[in-house]
Amino acid sequence: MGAENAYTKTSVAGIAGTLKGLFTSLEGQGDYKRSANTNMILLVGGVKELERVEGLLESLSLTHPSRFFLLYSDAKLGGLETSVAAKCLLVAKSEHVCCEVVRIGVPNEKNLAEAKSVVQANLLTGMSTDLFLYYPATSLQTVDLLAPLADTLFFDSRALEREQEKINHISRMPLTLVDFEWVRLADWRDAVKAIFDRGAVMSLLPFTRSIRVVASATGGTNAASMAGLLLTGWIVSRLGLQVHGYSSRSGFECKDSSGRSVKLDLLFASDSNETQPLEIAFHFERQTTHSGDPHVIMERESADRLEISVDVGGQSFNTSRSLDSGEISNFIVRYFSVGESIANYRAALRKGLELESLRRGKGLPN
Amino acid sequence: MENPFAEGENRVIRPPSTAVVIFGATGDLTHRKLIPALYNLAHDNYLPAEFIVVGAARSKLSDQEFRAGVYESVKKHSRRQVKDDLWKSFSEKIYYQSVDGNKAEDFVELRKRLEELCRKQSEDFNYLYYLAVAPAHFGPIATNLRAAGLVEDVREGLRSTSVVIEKPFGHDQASAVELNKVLRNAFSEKQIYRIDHYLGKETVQNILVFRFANGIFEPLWNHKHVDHIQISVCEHLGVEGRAPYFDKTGIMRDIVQNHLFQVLSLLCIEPPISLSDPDSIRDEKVKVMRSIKRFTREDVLSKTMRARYSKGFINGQAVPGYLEEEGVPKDSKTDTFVAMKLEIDNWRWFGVPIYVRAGKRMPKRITEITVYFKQPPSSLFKGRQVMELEQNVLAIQVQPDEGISLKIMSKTPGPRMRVRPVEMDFTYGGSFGIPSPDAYERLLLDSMKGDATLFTRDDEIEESWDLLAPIIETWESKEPPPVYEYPAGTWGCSEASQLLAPSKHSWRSL
Repeated sequence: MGAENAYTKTSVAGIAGTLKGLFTSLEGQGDYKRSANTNMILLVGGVKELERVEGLLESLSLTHPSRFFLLYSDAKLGGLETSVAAKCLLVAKSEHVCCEVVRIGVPNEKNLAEAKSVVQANLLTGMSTDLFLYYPATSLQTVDLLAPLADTLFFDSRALEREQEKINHISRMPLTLVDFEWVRLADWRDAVKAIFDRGAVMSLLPFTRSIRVVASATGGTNAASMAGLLLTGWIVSRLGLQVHGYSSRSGFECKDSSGRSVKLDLLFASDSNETQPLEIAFHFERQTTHSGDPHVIMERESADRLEISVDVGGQSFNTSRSLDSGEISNFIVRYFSVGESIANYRAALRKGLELESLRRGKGLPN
Repeated sequence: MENPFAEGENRVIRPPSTAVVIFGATGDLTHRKLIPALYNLAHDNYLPAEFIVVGAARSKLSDQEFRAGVYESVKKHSRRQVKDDLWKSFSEKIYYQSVDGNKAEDFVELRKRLEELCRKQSEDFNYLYYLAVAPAHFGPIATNLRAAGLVEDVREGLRSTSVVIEKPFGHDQASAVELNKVLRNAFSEKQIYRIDHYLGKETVQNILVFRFANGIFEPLWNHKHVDHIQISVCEHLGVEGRAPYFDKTGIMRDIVQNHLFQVLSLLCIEPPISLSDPDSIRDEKVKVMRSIKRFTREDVLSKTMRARYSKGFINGQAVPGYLEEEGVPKDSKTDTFVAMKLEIDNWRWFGVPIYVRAGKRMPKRITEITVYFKQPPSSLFKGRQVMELEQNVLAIQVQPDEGISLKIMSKTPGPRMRVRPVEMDFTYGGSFGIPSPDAYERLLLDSMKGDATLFTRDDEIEESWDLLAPIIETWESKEPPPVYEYPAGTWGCSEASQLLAPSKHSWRSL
């Protein structure tokens, strides 16, 4: 990125003019294109996060060109402070694509109402607005303050695992929700989908006897992970299972759409480092006199490998799939450059939170 | 009989010799808009070679004092920097005459002054009277102009004499009719130019060009293809010291009755016979106004709402609520925000809702017309990573960034079929380079040329008041609907959204 990427301090009233001036000064220096298809408000947190988010902005500028608004708090500020930059990236021989970035700093979160009005005055007209909960510790009050400006909320439920109430609250927001934990689970969901694309496996589904999902979780005994909850919630909602009860000994008692009982186990293995799915297993009623135990078992073999064992009662095979892994930024870029269907997310989240609430003995969540 | 030497000739750019007399010369409009506009016309060489401006007001000022005062205003408000040599030649044509609008003898003196100035330049000037004064003064000034022999008959006079007036054109239907009557006692309709400065904006004029110079849009401009229309006129400012005037007026009278309805009628008219004939276009505009369904009391309650701003933040600044503004009575019921659902009952627009809103203390200043086209079927994209297809939206932004954009759906690059909205757009600055002239420049020029195309006719005014009459009556009745509140810096209150909700529409994010 060139010198044009440096931030220029500006008055609140001068934001639009200064941005225009930045591009005027770039004319004649090469092929610079101002690019924006949407507005994105990032709730960044503090100064430390402000420095870290610059790396993400580079990826977003290419995959999701927007007018970016970075909202942060810094106790050293005397009042609301704004600065702007044109983040330009060389994309071809001499072609630069530039996104506008507006940084709005406040002394503390209590001043965010003023910051909101600055954002509102500078949103690109007629374009959708994304709200990115980059700093997970941002208060719900702040999220609620800015949510009315947005159409979509981006967040990572993995980072909010210890704050179930926050996730519950977000799940009720009338916005499109893009959860990067859901994006992380894409390979697992794709694997399940691919396996059941096979007719012989699909024909066993109405005879499901039990389903087992194992995921690791940090946070000590009885902690849950969003990976486990989302995957299980997805399976339950896609199969239309009704949950009728739970006990710590026998797991969840479910019934399918025809009234058949299906046992559901959702287990969490304590891990000090990270949360991730470890296993999904389907066991089916034996259909013929053939020996064997019809099943589909998917196990995480390593960080980037999923081993799948299938027995359809008489025939069996093993297969594997690669798993994407890495930093959250990989999944963010994946979402914006490749995309991810979120059509089933809300139902999966709702079901996952219900299961967790039952697991904790709290009944169904509000 | 039409002038046989005019047909087939180019339309003139430069008007004939004109003396512009500005009543209310010491007021805000003269300093902020009129003189700067005339200066910029001089800059572009659009003014006639023989041209004078006479400022008229009650104050006693010399020509020099008046020139010095307007010089400061032009430096502050002109869209271009003031050039010394141009200012010298321009200001030498600016004069001042003390005139009390109620004193007939002052108009006799004015006439003598004008004749003396004309004699000096050996030129026969047309007289254009600009009434930059409150409407209460229109009648006396018009009467005194006529009495002093300063108004000549259109057919028999040697010079063209005309009058330009600003809104408000009345306070309601009865007062608008009365105002027209008062003016018509002194001037014929052809001599009256009612300014709505929105009509002087390039983007508003472009509505007709856009519709009728492009073959692709007009076939879609009807109820078969248009889902709904939204018109938003939003200001970030509050009353800005105009509380005594505004509190008696409200946003309905200040913005909706004039600017908003003018834009709406241009957007929805049938093709006129000619774009060169002022009455051809204005006839069609009147037809649109007449076709808008009139409101019953029930309609007023369900299809209109009004609100006023409470304290909030605008662009980082804390601002007071309307009732806390200086000069606003504590029990004021005046609206600073209105929203309405209109319907045009004709073959072209039947069943197409038209949502309009206007408000003060909005998050930003923007005026936009958006045409939402009907949604295509999304069955083709089932099973793909495509949520519901969005509607194509044509947006005409009148201010601040004049231009037009069209939202279309496009596939995003990558291995999956993902569809996202993108914008195709044109801005005046980006496409034409030269900045758009101020609306007043165009309107002053046209009034000097005698071209009334961009001015409002008496029947247009009366129809717009006729449309608003049931609303005003209900709002001012003994059981009026409530005046809701919205925090300054927001886009109005939820009740405005409820107007659109039954049709599953929502206000465009501005």
